[in-house]
Parts: sequence; structure tokens; C-alpha cells
Amino acid sequence: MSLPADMPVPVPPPLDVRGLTKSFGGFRAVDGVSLTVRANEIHALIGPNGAGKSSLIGCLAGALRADAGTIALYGADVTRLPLHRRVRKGLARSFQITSIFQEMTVEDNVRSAVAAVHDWTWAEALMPASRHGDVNAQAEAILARLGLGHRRAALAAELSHGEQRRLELGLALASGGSMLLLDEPTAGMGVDDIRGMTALIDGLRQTCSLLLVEHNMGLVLGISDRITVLRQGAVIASGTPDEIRRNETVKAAYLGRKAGDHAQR
Amino acid sequence: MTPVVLTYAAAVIALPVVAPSVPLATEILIFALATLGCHLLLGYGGLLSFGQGAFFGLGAYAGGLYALYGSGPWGANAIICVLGGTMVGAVAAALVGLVAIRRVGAGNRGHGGAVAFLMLTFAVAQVAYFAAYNMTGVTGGENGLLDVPRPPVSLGGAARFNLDAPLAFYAFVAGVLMLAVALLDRLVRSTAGRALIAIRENEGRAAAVGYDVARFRLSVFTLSGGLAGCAGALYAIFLGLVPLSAIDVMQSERIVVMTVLGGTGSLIGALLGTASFIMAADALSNIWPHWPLVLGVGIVLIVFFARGGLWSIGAGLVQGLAPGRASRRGKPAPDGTIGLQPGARS
Repeated sequence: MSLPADMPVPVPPPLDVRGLTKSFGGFRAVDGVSLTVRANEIHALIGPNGAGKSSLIGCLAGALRADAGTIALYGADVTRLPLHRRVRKGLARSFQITSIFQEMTVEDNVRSAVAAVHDWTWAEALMPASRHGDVNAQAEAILARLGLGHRRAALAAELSHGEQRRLELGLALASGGSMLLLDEPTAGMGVDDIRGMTALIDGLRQTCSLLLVEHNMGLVLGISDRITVLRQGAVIASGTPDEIRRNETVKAAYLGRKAGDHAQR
Repeated sequence: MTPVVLTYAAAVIALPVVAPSVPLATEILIFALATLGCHLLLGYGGLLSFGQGAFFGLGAYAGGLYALYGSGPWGANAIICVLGGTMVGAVAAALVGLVAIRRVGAGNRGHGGAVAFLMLTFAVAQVAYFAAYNMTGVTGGENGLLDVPRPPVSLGGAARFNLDAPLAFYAFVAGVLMLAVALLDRLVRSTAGRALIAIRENEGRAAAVGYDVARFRLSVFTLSGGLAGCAGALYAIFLGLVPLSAIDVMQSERIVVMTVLGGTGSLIGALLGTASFIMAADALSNIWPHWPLVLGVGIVLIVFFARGGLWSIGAGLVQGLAPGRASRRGKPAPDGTIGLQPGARS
């Protein structure tokens, strides 16, 4: 290639979505959404209930198949890739409704997630799980980061709601992915737990890029670098927290209806 | 040696003494192999197959035909007979799985896929039965495959062990079973086994952390078909014939019933289920021709009151007797209805 030596080689963004569309029957849940998550930014995705946020996350993660549009992960097209292959390419997600391995210990939860993205030979895969020191060490580091080290032997089902939400995030981190899709990480959390979770998410920016679906406006405006607003499946605004705060369309469509929105929840 | 392997070893030694006859003990071990396959599929793959009888029957015909017509350096060897049956069962299950597992899908919520899998395997069992019924030239049709000889164990081209004596054949079957149990016990404690548990616990999340759920399930299904085929081949040389009933739908049902009866909490459940089913059938069939009714009631009771099967009842009793807070063993029933476990969560 004959690019001038002083010209920076363009680095593809962690996540680039173009014209993504997803319909359920006649209902367009996601309607031509385009957005870009830049490296090491926290990009919030907000919108009233039913705006298509979770459907969009589902399409991006690979749980739902998009009808049209493209999803590029670090420049590679992953639109048609099944979800487990996207994980290996660095895309990890957490769920709005806690989805953990309830009957396994906290430690085994994280170990299972760490082991999922290892490249095992048959012989290694059939070795007793306890012998894989590297997996266990990685799991240990994630437990420490989550502040769940002291609960490692507890069954996931026995954790408090706040702890379960942290484990939920931990399972996303365990894959080692650097592009995280977090679907309402603070859902149902108490005030104190939210503070801890916010700090945790804020810290993830060091190593990851995040697309964050969140209803908690204080949190969103506080830690996001940029915000994209969805309504009826389509993007109505995108910009910095200040720009979004001042945007008249957003005020009318979303913030103005916030009270009614909360009544629904 | 793990507790599971030790338990099987003890049972294998005790059975010829405890059971009414050596052939009955042999039958228990043979069916325990098929039940182990179904157990693995249900307990670790989260899939219920009504097609295990087809793989059992295919293994039986393969083993029977080999014993009848096999000749030359590769002929007349019980080891090859069993390996052949295993291969045929595994390949058949892999082919069925390629179609049926796809229907289950990965990360789908609800049980639509699992039901589709169950129905597809049921259909396969039906097709296999009618194929065997019609291909009289190969299978003997309704009369069955007759006069199947029992090949000896050959090593290095020479017959080493004659298996004609009941106890000799029992020892051979016991060897095959112990080998299978040792392998399966290792599998369920391995990293791959942990992955299977994760998939069983929460399939959507397992896929989301990067597991290829369909591939794991196909592997388990192939393994379960292989175990059924292995049992089938042993059954053929055990009976000295392959009756058409070896491949009928009842055969599939029997394997499922023995699996559910024993429970999927531990590999030991497969042995408990098989032994109690076959011993009960043997005892009851002498007294009352409608004995399956009793078994039916037993299954209903298990499903309603002890979803973990005989294994969980046994484990519950042991836990109840043990002082202090007993550790949780195995997996509770999907809806957690093991009333016998102290400290069971709501």
C-alpha cells in the first residue's frame, strides 16, 4: 500500500452499525439504526420503553438476526455470524434480566465463562476442570474486580440482587471481550449498589469500549461520552450529554415523557 | 477412583450374587449402558430422546450380522462386535442429530426446540422399526435375526477367551460397562463437562459467553447413540438372536423410563434406574401379566414427588441422616421440586 508515511492509518472503530433493521411480524422494532462506538468510550443508548433498545442489543450480540443492515466489529463484518463466534471476536454482552448459572457457584460461573473462549485441544478439554490453573487465575482476577471474591463458594442463586447484577456483568467481562454491550446493568438495584456499579462501569473504559443501555438518567449523563437516543426503533439524536440535554426533539420525545415513562415501569 | 466408579465396581461385583440369575444381572449391565447414554443426553445435554431404541436396535443388528457373517482376521471377535455396534449407533445418532439438533437452536427461550427434538427422535424410532420390519432379508423381519453365535474375545488374531459360560460373558459386559463409566465420569468432571452443565443450566447465557451450544449437544447425542449401539451389540450376542422388539418404540420408552426412574443427578442414577426396572419387571411379570401398570404408577409418583428419581431419594435419605449442613449434590429437578433435600430453596 502506498499511504504516505506520516498519514495515520485509520483504525476501524470497535463497533460500527449501518442501517440495521429488525421486524417482528409487521412491527419494526429496529428501523435503520446507524451508530458508531469509538475506542474506549462509553456510548449510552437511551429511549422510552419499547424504543427498540433491547432488540438492537439482541441484533448486535447475535441472539436476533437482523433483516437488513451491517454490523462491523473492529472493521470485520459480523452481521451473519452466530453469537458464540462474535464473542470470540471480542463482543460480549450482559442481560437486562439477570442471566447467570443459578445452580453453580459464583466461582464456577466465572470459570465457565472464561473457559468458553479458550481454544482447547480435545485432551485439555477432557482434563479435570480443577487442573486448569490459568482459567482459575483469570476467574479469580475477575471476581476481585467485581468485589465478589468473598462470595466465590456461594451458589449464584444465593447472592443478593446487587451481587447477581455484578456477576451478570462479570460473565460479560470473563470472555475477555473489549467491546461490551451492557443492557441496563443497574436494573432493579438499590442506591448504594448503583454507586458501586457506576464506578465499576466507569473503570471499564480503560480497557473496553461500551454500549450502555440505561434508564438511570443521572448515571447516563454522568459517565457517558456520547449518547444515542432511540424512538420507535429509529435514531432521533446522537451527541455528547450536553448536546442531548439541549436537544429539543429529545426533550419532546423522551425527557418530557419521563414521568409517564416511569409510571409504566 | 472416584465414588461413582467405585460404586459401579461394587455393584458389578455384587450383582451376580444379588440378582436372581447371572443372565438377569447381565441384562441389567447391558441396559445400564444404553441408560447411561440417555442419562448423559438428558442430564447434561438437556435433551430427551425417544429414539435411543433405534440406535440400540441398529447396534443389535450390526452386532448380530457381524457375529453371523464376519470372517477372516477381523471376524469372530467380541471386541470388534461391540466396537462395530458402538460405531453404528454413534454414526446414526450423529446423522439424526445434524437435523434434529438444529431444530433446537441456540439461545432460544422456551421449550419449543426441545419438543421438536423429542418428536423428531420419536419419528426416527418409528422409521427404524418399520425399516427393520420390512427388510426381512437383512433383519429377519418379524422373526428376528436368528442363530446369532457368541464370538470369543480375540487378541492378536487368536481366540483368547470363550464367552459361552454365563459368568464369562457377564465379566466381559462388566468390563465394557466399567470402561464406559470411567470415561463418562472423567467427561462430566472435565472442562467440557462443566461446559455441558453450563449449557444445561442456562443455554442462552452459555451461548452468550461463547459456547457453541449446538456442537456440544451434537457431541453428547452422538455419544449417547454410541452407548445405545454398544448395548445393542452386546444384547444380540447375549440373546443369540435379535428380536424385532430390540428396535421397536417400546425399546426407546424403556430406556427413557429407566433414565427418569434413576434420576439424572449422578451417573449412579442410570444403574439404579436400570437395576430396579429390570428386577421389578422380572419379579412382577411372573405374578401378574399387567405388571407394566405398576411401573406406570411408579413413574407417575416419581415425576410428581421426586423429580430427581431414585438417586435423589437415596441422596436425600443420606443427607437427612448426615449431621450438619450437607452439601448439595447433583442437579435438582428443573423446577427444583426435590422436597427431600433439606434447605431446598423456594
